Amino acid sequence: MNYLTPQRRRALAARYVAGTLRGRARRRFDALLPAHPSLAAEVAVLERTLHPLDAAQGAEAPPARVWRGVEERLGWRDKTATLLGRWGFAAGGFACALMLMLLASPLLAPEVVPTPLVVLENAGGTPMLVVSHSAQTGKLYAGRLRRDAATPGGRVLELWALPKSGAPRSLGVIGDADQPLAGREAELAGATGLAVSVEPEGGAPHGQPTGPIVYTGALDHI
Amino acid sequence: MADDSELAALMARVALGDRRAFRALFDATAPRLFALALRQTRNRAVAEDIVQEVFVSAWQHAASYRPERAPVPVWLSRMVRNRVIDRWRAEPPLVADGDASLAGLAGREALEPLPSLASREEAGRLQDCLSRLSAGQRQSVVLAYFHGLSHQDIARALATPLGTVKSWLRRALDHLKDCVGEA
Repeated sequence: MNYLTPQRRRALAARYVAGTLRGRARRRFDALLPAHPSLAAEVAVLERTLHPLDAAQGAEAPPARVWRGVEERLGWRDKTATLLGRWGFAAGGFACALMLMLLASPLLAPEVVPTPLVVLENAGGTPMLVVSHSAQTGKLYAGRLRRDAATPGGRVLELWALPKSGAPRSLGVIGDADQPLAGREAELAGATGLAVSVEPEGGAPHGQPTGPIVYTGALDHI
Repeated sequence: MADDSELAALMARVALGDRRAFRALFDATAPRLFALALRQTRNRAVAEDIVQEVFVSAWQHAASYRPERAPVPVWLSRMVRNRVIDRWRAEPPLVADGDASLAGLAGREALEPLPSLASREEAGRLQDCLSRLSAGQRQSVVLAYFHGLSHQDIARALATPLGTVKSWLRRALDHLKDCVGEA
């Protein structure tokens, strides 16, 4: 479908790459890109043209906590490990880190690494939660991507599988990233999406969401 | 810094869930991305957060990366830029720095000198093409792309009508694309 004239396409791509296309218009444009190769090509040429300017900004290695944060957000490193690390135990380098791993291994994430399955976003389109699965065990895991993904006191977040038709199925209350959820991967069969609702402590009392839906994500590739 | 094909190879391994490749990708690309985020947000905490988000997203969307569409650094830079702009929607830019900073940006020093580009061939070409733009066009490109200013910010900084800034930018990018492309 070509509902953008070449002239309009050029103008929008220019504003997108220059960074002056903002807000809702930018999000709309982002959503158009994958389905419109001519638009994507226009953007690609402009990005390559201007990219040397990025290199001209120089480089500065981010502090080590940035990488630690990436690992935390992906659920690869739990808070216990980080705390012990800050305690200075791992400061001696690889040998000490290895020792820490051995000492703290019962506290650390399970050995089998879960693979990310879907990212759930809030109403503003910000990624908030990643749901992963372990192909070996069929267990599901949920890791918060932002610190402000915590819930108000006395409330919990509960994950739901949304079938094509019929009522949502609970996959369990969301806890620590390295703890498997109550629901198993098999319960995702026939589901088209996942949603998270705010529930009273202990989870929704009658097996159906009672609080507001705060995050959603589409399941399109399982 | 690894070249584009090395980075594309790393991305392919990242898509398969290779954490060591992911760490290598981070080490190779994070410093430039951090510098970009720092320059555009002028806030270290926000810049750190944005770089973190970009790498989390890069891990999650590694399988959707297509090397024929954009080199890895271009793909990652776009993610940084999009997030910077997203933040600005939530918290208006320059809040921390106030008007003094805008005035500083409007000063001659911030506007005229183009960042000294790397000596690579394409960078030289871009520099050459930039120098052929009118002063207003060149300043608009540098303020928008390099400093992350909006149309309104640029109009204010250059004391120029909004419509003029928009057309400067559009023509400047048109020219740059053709100029760099034909060399």
